[in-house]
Amino acid sequence: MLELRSINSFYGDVQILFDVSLEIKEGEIVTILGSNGAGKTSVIKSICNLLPIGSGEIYYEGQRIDKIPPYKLINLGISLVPEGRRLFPDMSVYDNLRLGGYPIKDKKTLSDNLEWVMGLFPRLKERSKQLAGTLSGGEQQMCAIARGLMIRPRMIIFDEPSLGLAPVIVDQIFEILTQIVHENHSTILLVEQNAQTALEISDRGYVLENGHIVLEGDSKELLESPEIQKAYLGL
Amino acid sequence: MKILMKDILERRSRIAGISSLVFFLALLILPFLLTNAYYLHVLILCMIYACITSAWNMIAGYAGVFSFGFQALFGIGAYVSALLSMRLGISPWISMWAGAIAAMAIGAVVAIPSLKLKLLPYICIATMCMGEIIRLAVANFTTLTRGEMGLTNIPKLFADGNRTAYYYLAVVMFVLILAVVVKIVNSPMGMSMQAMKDSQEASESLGINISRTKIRIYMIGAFMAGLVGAFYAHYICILTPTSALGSSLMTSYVAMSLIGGIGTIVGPVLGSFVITIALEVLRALADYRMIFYALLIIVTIIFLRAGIWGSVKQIFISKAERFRNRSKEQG
Repeated sequence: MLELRSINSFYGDVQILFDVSLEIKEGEIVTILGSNGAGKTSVIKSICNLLPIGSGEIYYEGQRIDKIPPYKLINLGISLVPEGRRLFPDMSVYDNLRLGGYPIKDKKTLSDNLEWVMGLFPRLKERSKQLAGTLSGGEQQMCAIARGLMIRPRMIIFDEPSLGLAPVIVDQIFEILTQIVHENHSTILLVEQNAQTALEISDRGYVLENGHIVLEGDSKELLESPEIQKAYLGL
Repeated sequence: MKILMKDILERRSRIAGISSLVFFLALLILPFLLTNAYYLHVLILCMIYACITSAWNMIAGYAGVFSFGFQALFGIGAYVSALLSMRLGISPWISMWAGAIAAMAIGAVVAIPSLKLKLLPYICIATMCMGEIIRLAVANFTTLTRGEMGLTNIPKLFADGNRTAYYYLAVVMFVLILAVVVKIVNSPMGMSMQAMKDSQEASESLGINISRTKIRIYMIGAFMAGLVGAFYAHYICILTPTSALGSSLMTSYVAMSLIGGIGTIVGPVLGSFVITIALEVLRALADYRMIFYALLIIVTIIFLRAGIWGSVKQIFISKAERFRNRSKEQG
């Protein structure tokens, strides 16, 4: 469904991604693991063209997308839940979700989708009039995910959804992620530092180190591989 | 308790509606109470500042695009309209619109390259330089603009220079511009503007074309600035590059927005009236009044980060929030 072919990306003159290739098939959950500064977020920014790639090609359903401006990608059904949530703090939860449905022109679809995400996150329904900036961390992450789901995306990219959240909340959030896949048949690209939880729910994984992909494989194999256990699971 | 919460919100919007109605009615009645033409003049100046500060605040406070060359758009509107009516004998009622359109066009020329820059400091520097370039061009193109000697005897809008007529025209312009700003801020475009201010990347990935939104809003603001500038030219009837294009004007817009409350509708209006009137009241102090000006800015930035109106608003919001929490506990 999504394919990256030897991507090289730069911040100014500094190269941050080296020959990164990866593939995500329809209906899969794929995790990209890596420590701070490994280039995980840069992979996502490259996919969304928020960071134009230096060389390489990106294909989505056979169509080349690396020259498409970021605001048009959502029309292809790609949705991004960015790192650090990036909610609009001075707007109500409702308005945040409403903006998630920005490209939807049809009112009926919009209200259906609103109902659907509120059903997934009943907490947000209770707080729909509250300013997003006044939500707790977990609720903010739920709001960010819900906002990303408003277009009923076929492919969702999550950048560190567990960042800064209590373990209980992380479990809840991952549970909802798996539920989304089953209900909506979405494909998920998950970027995480929390290797254990991420690998448990995903089908396959890639490990990124200093801008290079150093390992890839089925999540189960990765969970058992000695390198991963040593570097990310602390075993 | 839930009903109470709703009541408060409703009452809040009702209070806002009633108080703005009272404010505009007062503006309409004032000329009958103030017999001194000087007071009317000060109020006209207040409205001129309120219009342009509101336009700037729409771009900077709501969309987060800090243009520091906004005074140039005001000046272009003023100069284009003045020159058209003086040199070509066009009625100032028509040349005013030409001035506004010229400002919008120049605004677009400035906006298209500089708003593609995504980082705020670059936008600030680019727009600031553009403003200065325009001022220098007008100051040095002496054959047309007479440079710092200035344009004098600019045709008036009302033959006898009737101040009450000018006053009411200013009220109409002020109400219209404010209405458009309110309308835009509450439209879907206004929502995407505010989203863009909070996070460009998030709003882009939600499908908002941020370059287009920025350029559009900038052009609308430029049109407003040009129109106000043209009104100013045909009201004051004297233009010099320093008075119509000087960077001190920009400082006033920023100061008025900050003191009143940037990113709110009422704030810039409040700031414009307070500062303009205060500076007139303190006129006896001559240039020392600038010390008061500076102190006011410093005090606002240290103690009232959200400005006068922003702080009032925050008190309202925290009150509403408290009620909400209380109603949750009970039910």
